[in-house]
Amino acid sequence: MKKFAAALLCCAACLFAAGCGDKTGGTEGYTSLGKSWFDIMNTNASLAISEKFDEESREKMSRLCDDVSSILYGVNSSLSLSVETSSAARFNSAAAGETVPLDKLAYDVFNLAEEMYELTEGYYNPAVYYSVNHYKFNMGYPEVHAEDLPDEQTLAAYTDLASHFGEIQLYIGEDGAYYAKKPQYTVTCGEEELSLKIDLGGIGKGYAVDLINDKIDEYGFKYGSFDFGSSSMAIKSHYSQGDYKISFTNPRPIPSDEATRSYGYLYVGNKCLSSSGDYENCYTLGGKRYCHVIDPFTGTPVSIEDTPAMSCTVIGDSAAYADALTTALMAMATHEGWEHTAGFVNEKLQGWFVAFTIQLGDDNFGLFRNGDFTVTDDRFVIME
Amino acid sequence: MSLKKINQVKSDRGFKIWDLLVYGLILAAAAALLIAVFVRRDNNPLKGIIITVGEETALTYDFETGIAEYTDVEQGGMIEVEQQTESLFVFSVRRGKHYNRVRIDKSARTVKVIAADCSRNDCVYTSAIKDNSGMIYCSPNDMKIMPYDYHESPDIII
Repeated sequence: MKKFAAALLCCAACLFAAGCGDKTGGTEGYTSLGKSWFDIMNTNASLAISEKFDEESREKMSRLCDDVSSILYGVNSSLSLSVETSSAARFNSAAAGETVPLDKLAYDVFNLAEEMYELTEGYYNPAVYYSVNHYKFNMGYPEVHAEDLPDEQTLAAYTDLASHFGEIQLYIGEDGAYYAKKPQYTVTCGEEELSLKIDLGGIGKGYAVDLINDKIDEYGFKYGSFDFGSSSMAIKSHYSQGDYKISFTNPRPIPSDEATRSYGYLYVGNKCLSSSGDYENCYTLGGKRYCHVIDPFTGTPVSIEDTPAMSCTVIGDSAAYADALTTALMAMATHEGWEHTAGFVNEKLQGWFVAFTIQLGDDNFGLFRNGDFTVTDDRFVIME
Repeated sequence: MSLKKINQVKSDRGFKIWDLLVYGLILAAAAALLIAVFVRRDNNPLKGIIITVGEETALTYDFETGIAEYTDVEQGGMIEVEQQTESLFVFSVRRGKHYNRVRIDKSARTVKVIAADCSRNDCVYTSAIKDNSGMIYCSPNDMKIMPYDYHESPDIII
């Protein structure tokens, strides 16, 4: 009897071992093909597909790259503010109360932005345009002086104007074309009268990632990933490992300790994700960090507060949602505190993985996460 | 132990067919486990690398032949060679004022960015490319180093 049991155990071990080595149907012969696109929405994008490539699948990959190019250039020409003819740029240059024709893509992204504005209680607000501009976060690596920063009165005008984002009217005309009517509301700032302006760059990138993710499925590729500006990604399966190991950038690494470049990791497959942090697109002035994530209720960068959110990562089925959520949750966690934000995540974002970090002291950080996550930097204390 | 049991053990000396079958299965299981562990790794040696800046190829290096193809900065290219020995090839990839300094260890077949003027120095912190799953990307300088037979890595830092 014991011998039968031993024999069965051995058979099970053999089957297990065979399963480990052949997780994705055999890894022999797989290669990866990649292509990068530069300067789309002021950033770069990369596609990598792994496959046992033959002539037919190479040709398929080439057609996929063409489709990805069309999507990326389409998003850029529709939403980029540096393209004067884009729907977003034309909306911004329109007068208060004016109706602006939109292309279909811009109409969809405007609708999505309004949905996220509602869902996040106004913490996702693309109408923080004037703050972003005044703090020079849309200018690459700017040289900023203390006298360049906005005063309280200016910030109050900016936040007042941004609070009217929900009043943009979107509709399809009788001619079947898409339109957005700009709110009538204006504020006076110095001698200037300002109307509402938007920046849909973040959510637009996520929207492109979602379209490209669907396109990869349409072509039948199972293994690979698409990365738009490092902060927005679609992850399929890895051809040999199954799930990807996703390490989260540490917002406060110890320069002499390379192990602290990341503060933790998890394994992910077939999901979209977005991450945002106060370590990107930021500058220091008077010992204070100024980052590109703006609290729409104060008009200021979240990083100048006493216990700011440092980073946020959201993983789920849509990169556009995830993009809007990372920004919103960083602002919410800074403005309302982590408990309120954790409650919001647990109540409204079921099915999504969320991790955000808070600066509690110089070398003392808090981490909220609502799923399996391995922490590798012991300066991070789990908040629950 | 009873006499009957002792006699039974004596008569059972040597290998029975079931003993052989079980030992055989154990050996097969051990072999399968070893194969499983090693087959999963893409540890094919690095054949060569391609360095691109933007969409232009700045340099290719073939470890098999030791041939580097590039155009020097002085001839309008992007490569400024600093050191070329039997085992090391150190050069800077230049585009305008920006640069990434790269070291190719010919004998160890590794490639690493050792200095750069980009803001976060992510490319410098990235581990050396040792096999076909490695890749170094410097986003601010639009510079990418990829193996000839690139295999996408399952590890991603976001």
